[in-house]
Amino acid sequence: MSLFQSYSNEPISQLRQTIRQSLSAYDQAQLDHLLDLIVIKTIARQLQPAVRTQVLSMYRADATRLSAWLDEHHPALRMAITEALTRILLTFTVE
Amino acid sequence: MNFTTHLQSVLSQTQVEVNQLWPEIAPYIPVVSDVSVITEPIKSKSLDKDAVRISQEERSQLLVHLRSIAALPAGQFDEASASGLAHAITYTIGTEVRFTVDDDQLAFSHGVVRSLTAAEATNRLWTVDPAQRGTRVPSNQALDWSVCVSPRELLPTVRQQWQPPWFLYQPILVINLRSMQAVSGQISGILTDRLNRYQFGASSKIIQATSLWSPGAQGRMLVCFLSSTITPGTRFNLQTPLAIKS
Repeated sequence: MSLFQSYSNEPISQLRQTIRQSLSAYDQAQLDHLLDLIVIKTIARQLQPAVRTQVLSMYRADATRLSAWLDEHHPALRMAITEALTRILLTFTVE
Repeated sequence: MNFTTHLQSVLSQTQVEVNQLWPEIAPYIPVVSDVSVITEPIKSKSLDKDAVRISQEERSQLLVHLRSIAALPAGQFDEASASGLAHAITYTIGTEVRFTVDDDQLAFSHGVVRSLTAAEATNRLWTVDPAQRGTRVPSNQALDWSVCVSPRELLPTVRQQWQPPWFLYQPILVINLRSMQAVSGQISGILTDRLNRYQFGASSKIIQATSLWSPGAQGRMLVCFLSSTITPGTRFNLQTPLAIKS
């Protein structure tokens, strides 16, 4: 499971599905890759370097459990990530 | 600009930003190949030999953290600190460690150790029911690598009436907070020292294997639980990525 899917809510899911409909398989994979990068970029911007080291260890161990740990120790991060994901998806839907 | 071009442009820009903000994570992010197959990154899901290739920066940060703990009074970690430290040690030695067992925590996770007498190291204070958690009766060899810990609460005066504590015979890792030498062992009993001058008692083999009384070490050690069974006496050097077998 991709990292961004841990933060996917209804609006994000609908936006992603709408965009994917017109994409090739490769572009679909690229879009998901971009969403993962957005999650990582948001984490990098929000967390101190010492905490990022812990996050990196957990990401390497099991990325699917990372979101649960972040929700417990840095609850504000979820909103920041979902906002960032929504913004980037909207840039691909505005004509 | 068509969609694909726009996507590639945003993707490239975001990749650059991630590399600038957090270069350490870059090698572990999956990449998309030309055939739409996600290529798995270097990271390992299981703790195999690749997992002990912790980055030099992560290892350095862990060593600095452990040395800072040596300067603190004996004590216990809060949940967040314990979680982060456990993860870092796990990736350093390639074996999962933790500071709690089923939400139970020792009175001290770091402190000063004294030597156990031979009688203390081998004395079995309770008749243990093997069906109880953490009460595997150890072999005499396992008792060679034994550690006694301070109890969290005051104990009854009649030992024979005690219930075996939850941590009895739990496999542990003992880390010398100065030399970063570590060895696996087992909690074998309770330290009954008054005034909490010492938080741990360790058998002579553990003290020798980790050089706990070498100049500068001053007996400062850290204890964490091992999630998997490791032969007691297995040694680790946290400054290198390899485990040293006993």
